[in-house]
Amino acid sequence: MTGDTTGRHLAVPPKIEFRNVDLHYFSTKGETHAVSDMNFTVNKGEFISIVGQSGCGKSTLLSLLCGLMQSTSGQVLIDGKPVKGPSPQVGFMLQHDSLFEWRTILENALLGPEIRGMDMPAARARAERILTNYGLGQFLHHRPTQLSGGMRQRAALGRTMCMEPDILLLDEPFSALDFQTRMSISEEIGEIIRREGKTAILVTHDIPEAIAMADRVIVLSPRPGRLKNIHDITFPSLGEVRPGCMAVRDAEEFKDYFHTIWTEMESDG
Amino acid sequence: MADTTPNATPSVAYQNWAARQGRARRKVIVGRLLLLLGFLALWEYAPRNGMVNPMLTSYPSAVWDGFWDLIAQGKLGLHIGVTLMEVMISFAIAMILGTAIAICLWLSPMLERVLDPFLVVLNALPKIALVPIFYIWLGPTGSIYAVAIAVALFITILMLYTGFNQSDPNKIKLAKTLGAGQVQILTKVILPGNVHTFMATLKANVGLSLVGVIVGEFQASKAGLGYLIVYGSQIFRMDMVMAAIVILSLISVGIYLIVQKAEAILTR
Repeated sequence: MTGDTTGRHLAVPPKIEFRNVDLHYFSTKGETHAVSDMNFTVNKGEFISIVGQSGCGKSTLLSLLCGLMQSTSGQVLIDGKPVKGPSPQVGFMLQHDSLFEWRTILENALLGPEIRGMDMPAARARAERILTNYGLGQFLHHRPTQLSGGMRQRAALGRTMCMEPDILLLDEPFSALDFQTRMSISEEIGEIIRREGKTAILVTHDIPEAIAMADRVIVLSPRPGRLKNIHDITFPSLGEVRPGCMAVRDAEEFKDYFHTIWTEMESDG
Repeated sequence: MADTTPNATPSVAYQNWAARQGRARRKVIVGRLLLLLGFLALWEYAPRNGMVNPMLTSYPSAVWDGFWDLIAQGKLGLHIGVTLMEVMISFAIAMILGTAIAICLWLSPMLERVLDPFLVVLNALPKIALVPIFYIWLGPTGSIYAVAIAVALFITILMLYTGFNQSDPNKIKLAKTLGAGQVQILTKVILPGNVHTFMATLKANVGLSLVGVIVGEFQASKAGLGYLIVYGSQIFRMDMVMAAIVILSLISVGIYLIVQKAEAILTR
């Protein structure tokens, strides 16, 4: 910290912290232990991927972070403060773009500001600028049905970014796309997130995608989801500056990371 | 991008295809006209040649005369007007009330769970059976509205509520992540996402309100097309009865077309 003349060093809390988080679901069928003793932190500007088998509670972690549900015990903290409910600070991208087909692309991007009662002219200008940056300038007044899958997902990112979140939660946002679109869109969106210095958590089934996009990969065990391992993802062979998601797939280290994480996930049986 | 812009200069194959489409369309229209004319011709021919009793069936030219007869009496406008007004008012009340109740049920799952069996029973109950009771309670005019509303109300509630409940859960989740509360989910997701359900309900109710009104008029009324039908049958003027029925079907088609037009505008 600069300008701290008192010599007192304030500890900056991590951007995100899971502290002894436990979650049980209740339903008429009974009780499910979904997440067990979850502990990890994410620093500002970091990109984290979470992988694990189906039903291991990956998506649940994002719902907890977004405040859509509350943990049974333990704490989920953002900037050192417990998460109470959805906040504009946290943007959530879901597997389905969920664009409202009765709204234009621009109106879709303005959904968040409308709900939050933000200053609409400012939000409109921001939405137009963001969507134009994402290559949708020609399509502001088009309906979602007139757009391709990749463009729809970029529009969904625009809707999320219009709230100016500093944390992005990505719940398999690329899995509904065809392979080619998936590769180019994940590269594009990963680049946008890094350029804008957002903190991001990606939940995915796709191990290569998890490695290609992230600074660290978290591996979860099957239900109840426990933290199994955390891998730092670096590519020394590619030099100081990390290249895009596409280029790292060719790195020597990539195969090793894939093999390690794959084996770890398989070993649960 | 899904590029579906047609070629600027259509190929010969395309022109042939378009021509075939046009011929098929014309065949359908001609088929419909032939069916209608055939039916009218048979209806005219059979009674006139003693194959059926004209007292029982009447025939198109007599219905046409009966129609002009009604106009000459100067009462047809009144009958149509009365029935139309009854239909419009009960249709509107059933829609507004039904929508309001469906919204309340969606907002309060507890209320919905409590009321569910009662709604199911009320919806399944043939409302026509209530006509005599409505007549005793509400008198001749009130009972017409009551039947028409009762016939349309419960199906409105159930159709809309079902539509609300089938709204895309992903859109609801998304709205929640953006901070929407229950009322905002209703106004931003549920209602705009159910314009089609609303229109389907409107279309169903056009017919149902008409049924309710006509049955109500059968029980007791001084005017209206239902009155005309009952009165005509009592004095054995089948031409008058048939004319009233034809007018009735034209009215129901007319209202249906208006609703369809409204749907086209609203769901552009």
